[in-house]
Amino acid sequence: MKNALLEVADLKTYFPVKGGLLKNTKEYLKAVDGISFTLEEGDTLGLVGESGCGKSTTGRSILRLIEPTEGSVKYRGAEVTSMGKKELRKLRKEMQIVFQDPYASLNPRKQVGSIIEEALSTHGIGRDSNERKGMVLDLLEKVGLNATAYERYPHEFSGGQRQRIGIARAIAVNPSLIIADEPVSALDVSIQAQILNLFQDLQDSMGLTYIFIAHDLSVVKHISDKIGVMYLGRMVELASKDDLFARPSHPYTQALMSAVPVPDPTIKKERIILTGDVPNPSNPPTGCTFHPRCRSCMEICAEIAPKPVEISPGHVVSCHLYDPEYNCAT
Amino acid sequence: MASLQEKTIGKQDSDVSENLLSVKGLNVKFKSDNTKVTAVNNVSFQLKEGETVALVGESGSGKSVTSLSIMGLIPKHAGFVDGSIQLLGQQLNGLPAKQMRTIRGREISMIFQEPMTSLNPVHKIGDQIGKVIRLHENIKKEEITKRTIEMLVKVGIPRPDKIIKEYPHQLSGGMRQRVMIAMAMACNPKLLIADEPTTALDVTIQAQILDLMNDLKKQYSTTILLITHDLGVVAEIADRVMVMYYGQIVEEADVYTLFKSPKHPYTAGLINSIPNLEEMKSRLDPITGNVPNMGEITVGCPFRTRCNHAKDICSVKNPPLFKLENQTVRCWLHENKEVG
Ligand SMILES: Nc1ncnc2c1ncn2[C@@H]1O[C@H](COP(=O)(O)OP(=O)(O)O)[C@@H](O)[C@H]1O
Ligand SMILES: Nc1ncnc2c1ncn2[C@@H]1O[C@H](COP(=O)(O)OP(=O)(O)O)[C@@H](O)[C@H]1O
Ligand SMILES: [Mg+2]
Ligand SMILES: [Mg+2]
Repeated sequence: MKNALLEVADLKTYFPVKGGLLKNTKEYLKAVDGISFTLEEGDTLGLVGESGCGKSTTGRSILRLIEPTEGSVKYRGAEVTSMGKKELRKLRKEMQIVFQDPYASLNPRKQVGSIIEEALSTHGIGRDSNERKGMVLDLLEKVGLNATAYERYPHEFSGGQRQRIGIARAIAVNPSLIIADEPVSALDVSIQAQILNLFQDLQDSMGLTYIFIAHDLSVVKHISDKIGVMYLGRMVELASKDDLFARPSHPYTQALMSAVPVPDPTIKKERIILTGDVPNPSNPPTGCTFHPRCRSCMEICAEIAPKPVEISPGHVVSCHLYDPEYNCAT
Repeated sequence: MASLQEKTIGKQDSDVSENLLSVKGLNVKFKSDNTKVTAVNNVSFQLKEGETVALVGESGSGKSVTSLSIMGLIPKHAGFVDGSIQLLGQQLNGLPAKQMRTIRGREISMIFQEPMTSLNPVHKIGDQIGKVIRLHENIKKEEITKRTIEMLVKVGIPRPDKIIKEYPHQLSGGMRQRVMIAMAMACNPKLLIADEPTTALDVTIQAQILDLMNDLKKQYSTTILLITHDLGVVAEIADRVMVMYYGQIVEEADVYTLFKSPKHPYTAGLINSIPNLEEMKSRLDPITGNVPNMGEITVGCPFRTRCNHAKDICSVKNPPLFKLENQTVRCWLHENKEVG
């Protein structure tokens, strides 16, 4: 059995909302509201869901770029949420993040070479700048960039090439875990495919573990071993990729799968059209937050939030349909 | 909805195989420093009444510029539009601005990726849709309000009598897109150009909008030119597909032929690049290299720099469109396979 690299238990990140209904009581936007999963070393967990469901906040809370409100994050057994500054700095060498828009995170005034070199020197990697330059050139090659990139500026590159720069910077410190937040969402399909292949190659050669965040289920399916489907801050279903696609169980997962257009005109799938929009997360529906859009909604669903139920080993669903206590239909 | 019905009935009498829109030799150039950069290069195509045709390609390939040219929306000071654009025999290119305004909204409508490009943030929804109707039809105020509400019902907006008094920012992205569609369809145009209408939407909302477009298509038999980069969306609603690369149409086929036997290496490359929910590929097989910038390649086939099949001739001469049995393709590989 593989070792658990990351264990997340009941993670919650709430943002205070200004101007709540009652002035004295504080109101919160529950961006992440009780998420749990375990990620084994060398695996990829895909996080999928529509915009605003809390994918980015989950990723950032794990890295403590945002302070989580509650819950536990264990990295190789060590509790991340209670780490002090010094330990956190060490942890940052272990966990890196790659963003959707690498441009926003690359200093436009610095040459690509020095941007990556800085990541090395911050963590005390390499004896001197000469050695670091050699390392940077190796990294550029690893991510498929020409050595001439070293002396060029971020604006001289296309979106796909900038993403390669962002990846080079992330792997520079030789991390174990990379949280990739919509890293291919802004790219054209041919470039998206190149970057997905690069992620796979680097995982094979460096033994990397990924949390791969995307709103595109086809992309998530392609890259992941395990998939978590999120809706309004909660993980409604978590399973291995094979289990999730063999037996999608949460009504939201089923709707999401049926909504993805398939690039094959001979396939006519039966579509579950969800009515309405995703509700406002600062004022979520009662009970199961999906119940107003759910075609299997029962009375209980508007009253009580469902607890996670393990319907087969490793396949967890938060839905009253699978809870023997409430579902009279089974 | 009297006038809508009249128009629909009128349509059934006309010849279904007639070309609604005929574009010939469309060239669009933009001023850039001291030179002109070609954004659309010798594009020709026809749209038949009632069909849905997708224009697909990666960003910068000239899809939006093509559609804006049809709408007469390329600013004169910025770009040069050359060629023939005929709507039911009427030449649109070069038409005075005033005349073009009577065609836009009534004969041809357009919806955009970002609804706020056509919705005015400071006007109420009802007034904006009403304005389109008033511009093109001489009817009374109460009649306009009635039509506006009917349109909102048609595009699936709940509580339309309330929504007409609201402002665009009060609606979600999906609802705004519905309002824009209602506005575009208000005068039952012959041609609807939809430029990436679902690209900014979440997938469950995209499914709703695609469903709505399919409905409207059936109900009004509107001809649709759908611009998208998403081959899934293409497979979902297009009858015919035109693939654009570097300002040119490089392949054109019915949707089944295009996905089953793509002939241009670029089309095949695009299809191989995308992960498909229905089949498992352990590794994608992408097109190498980057999309060239406009003006970067001046001779030969613009795709040759990324093509695995490039031959000597490809770097010398840009191929013409070769006509095969079920498709046309701009690639030297198919030079000798031409029919008729
Ligand atoms: N810094 C913040 N302050 C307040 N609300 C936030 C903040 N960051 C995100 N949110 C809210 O939290 C929810 C989840 O956001 P996010 O994690 O970015 O979702 P996703 O990445 O799935 O699109 C959204 O409603 C968003 O508006
Ligand atoms: N107003 C403009 N001025 C100068 N160049 C333009 C203008 N509009 C578009 N272009 C250029 O024309 C090319 C085609 O653009 P566009 O049609 O928007 O591509 P697509 O819609 O396929 O992504 C691009 O290189 C773009 O930069
Ligand atoms: Mg996000
Ligand atoms: Mg465009």
